[in-house]
Amino acid sequence: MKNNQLQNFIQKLTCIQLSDIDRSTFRNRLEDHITSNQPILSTWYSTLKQPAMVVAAFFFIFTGISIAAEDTVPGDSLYAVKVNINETVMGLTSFNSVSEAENQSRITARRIAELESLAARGSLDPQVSERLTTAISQHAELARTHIKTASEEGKTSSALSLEIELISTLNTHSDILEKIAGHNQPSSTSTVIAVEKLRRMAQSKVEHDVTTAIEKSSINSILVRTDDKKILSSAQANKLLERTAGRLDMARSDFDNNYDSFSDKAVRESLKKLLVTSANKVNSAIDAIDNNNYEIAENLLRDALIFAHEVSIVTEVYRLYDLPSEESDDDSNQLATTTNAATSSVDQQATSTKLRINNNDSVTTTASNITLISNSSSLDELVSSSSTDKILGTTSTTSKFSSTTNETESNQNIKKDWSSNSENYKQIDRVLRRVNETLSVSNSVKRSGFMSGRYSD
Amino acid sequence: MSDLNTKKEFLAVYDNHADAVYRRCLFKTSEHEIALDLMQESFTRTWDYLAEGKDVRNVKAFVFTVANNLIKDHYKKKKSIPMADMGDFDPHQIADQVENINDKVQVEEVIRALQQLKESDRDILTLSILDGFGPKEIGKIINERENTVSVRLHRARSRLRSVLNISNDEE
Repeated sequence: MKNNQLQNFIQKLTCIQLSDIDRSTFRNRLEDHITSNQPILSTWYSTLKQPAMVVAAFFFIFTGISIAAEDTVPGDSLYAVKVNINETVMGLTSFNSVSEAENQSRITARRIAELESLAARGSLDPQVSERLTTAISQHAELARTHIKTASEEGKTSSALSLEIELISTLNTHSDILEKIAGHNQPSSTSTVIAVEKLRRMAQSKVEHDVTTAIEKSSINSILVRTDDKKILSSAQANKLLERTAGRLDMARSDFDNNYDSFSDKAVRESLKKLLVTSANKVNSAIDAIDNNNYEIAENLLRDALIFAHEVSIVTEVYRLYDLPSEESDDDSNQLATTTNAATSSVDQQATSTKLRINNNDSVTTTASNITLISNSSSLDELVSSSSTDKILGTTSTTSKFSSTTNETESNQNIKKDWSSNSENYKQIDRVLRRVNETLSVSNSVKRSGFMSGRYSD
Repeated sequence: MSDLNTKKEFLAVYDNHADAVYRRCLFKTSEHEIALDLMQESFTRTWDYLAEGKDVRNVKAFVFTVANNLIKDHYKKKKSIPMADMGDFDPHQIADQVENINDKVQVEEVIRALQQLKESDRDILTLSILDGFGPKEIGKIINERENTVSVRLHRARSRLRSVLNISNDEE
């Protein structure tokens, strides 16, 4: 009885509650925190609880068989080890939708690399081509499923960058295969069919799925609305910036490490331009983020991510295969050494590329970028499509690129020797430093808002 | 358990217990803004702990324990006074967080009664009666043995009855 009295008396305190605004504000912050701090070890532990898998995994990881199998292609004796064991072990580290998508994208790229390897050797027969393209299609589809899941879970920026990278991988490799087919007549039919299949895969509608999921995931986050189009939030834009900068850094490193392995100097110079263009785009994206224009930032980061990703892929391909030099081919040579006398069709291509970039359809530009790699005029158009370039100070350079009067002079600026002392290298360095500063400021603001700066340890 | 379920489940924990954790922090600090920060930090740290793959059997009790530790840290940073002697139990400031006038009057009445008790009695009574924890869970939250909590809870009830002029003989 008396206990009830006490209970009723003290229960009156339950009317002390959070206001609706406080409750939802802190809930959103908590949700952001949860999204950016997903569990890692729990899944590891559950995987490690399977002793047989662990023993098998360690056995094969640490044996030469599994390492030797890595460079095999269909038809090699160790190819089954590569596909059935090495890739299963790779999958063990996938503990959430993002890493699952990354893993499937990685396997997709491995199958494509095998296709290229066989095509480059001139030994790609129709059956193998069919088998590999089917496998590529299956893994790309799985990657897309996981990307969609990641997007629905609110990991929007990761999903977006994974999607861009997957499409970029398919498109870039299609171009590389096409190039190989053009130089390797015996296997050209199988290769051309494979190219067509890859292009169709790249044109699938993941874009729509991710966009839809962005809309769903944005409901409970800091939503920025422009007309009827939902775009990235500030936190998501910063995440995408971080990922793109990471990819740019990696691409620069890949390019740097393999600088001397390019048999085709025109390709090397074009990749250098792609890197600088990517850095330009990242730099402009930071400006856009500073101005809370996340839609523009997203478009710029998409382009930057595609360019950086392409540099990595092409660098890797040139490292592995001694692709025929453009300079040895009359037609290609014409493209590689474009000057003022650029043909009207090239101009048209460059213009349409630029238009598509401006229309936020960057992913579809990927296919043409590799063609443009050997086309300095078109790439200069891409450079000129970049907006403000505060840090790089390329405004004057850009206008020079846009000029059709003195292409050779503009190329001299960008064709400086590549080293840590070169201007291009330093430009990229400055952009990456600016990204770091932007992200550290953003993080500290978030932390101070989150904890009012009083309880941080 | 997938990440999505975990996230949903943890947000459900927030939805169910955010008010209680906030109240706890408010009672201990009497400052709305600080209570909000402590409440938020309690949930964040709990999530971080779970994200490391560690098991928590009673999430609500765990969040309260984290909140209690953060409150201690807060006072350590603020001034060097033991938690038991904390005097930041301000009826006005606490009741100010209630918008409805009638509710505010009732809350002030309860708080004034609780103000006449020792800090440790208030802790145990609110954790038990208001937040529904048993002696074992309270022991974990305030770092005391279960038996000690049971004895102190009994005494705290008696003291509150005295304050409210409810006869102990009616028990």
